[in-house]
Amino acid sequence: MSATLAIGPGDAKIATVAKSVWDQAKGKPCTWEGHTTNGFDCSGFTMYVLQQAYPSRGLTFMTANSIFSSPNFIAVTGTPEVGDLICFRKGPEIPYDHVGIVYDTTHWIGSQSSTGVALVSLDDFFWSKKPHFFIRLVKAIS
Amino acid sequence: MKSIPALSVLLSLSLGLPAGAQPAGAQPAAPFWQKTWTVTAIEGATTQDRALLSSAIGLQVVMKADALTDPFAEDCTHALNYDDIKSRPVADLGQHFGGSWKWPAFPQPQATYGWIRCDGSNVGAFAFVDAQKAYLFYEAGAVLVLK
Repeated sequence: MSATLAIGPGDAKIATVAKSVWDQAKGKPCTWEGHTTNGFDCSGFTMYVLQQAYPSRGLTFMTANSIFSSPNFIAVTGTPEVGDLICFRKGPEIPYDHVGIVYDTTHWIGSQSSTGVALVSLDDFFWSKKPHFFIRLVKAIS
Repeated sequence: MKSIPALSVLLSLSLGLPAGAQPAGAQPAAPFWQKTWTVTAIEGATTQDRALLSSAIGLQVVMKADALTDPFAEDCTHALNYDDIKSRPVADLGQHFGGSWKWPAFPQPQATYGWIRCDGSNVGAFAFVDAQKAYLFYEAGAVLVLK
């Protein structure tokens, strides 16, 4: 992955909420199983943002493993977009590790163990080397 | 060499300064940890993640009063904040940084550690043993040894 990765405009609502939650939670350490602005883990942050953006969906908190296989999301086969989830595998044998939200064309936001909630470059020293893929929230049909 | 307090007071008075104040333009001494650190080893993490991080060896983190050059985060030149770096009990590392690491042994029960922040966000969890050795608590349980 590189900073030149094409990212579509996507879901500005998710990105706006992600920024707002980041502002509330920044400076706090990553908290395992945390799902409040007092401290998040990666899936806690991601699901909290999606719940705030789409409260009527009734999304529940899930682990990264559950998010990756949830019917609420579909795999992105084309260009990733703002608001998509960026999903990291630990390795070939462990398909889940970390999840965050694509924020703009060069960054995603997530709650990492080394920082808590923070903006991460798509060129980040560690995360850009990890196997990853993108999924997208299936929008409610009204 | 012994200090001469009376002389210091006289010098301050002659410069029109309160005793103990520094002349205008004088810079306070930088803290011992505010320097260039080089990654020399990687501890913790899985074998796979240590291999992924192997190219970190030799990289430098440059801590200046007004700028941070950090290959493990984005460089910070705006709203850089070191205020969280303080002397604290080593036993409180987990409470302060979270529980993602196996903590290295420190020679004293107190150590200087804390978050470096940029515009309010944490950019790195650093602990300083002394002016020659420090740790960066990084992703995947990895502890980068800095010298």
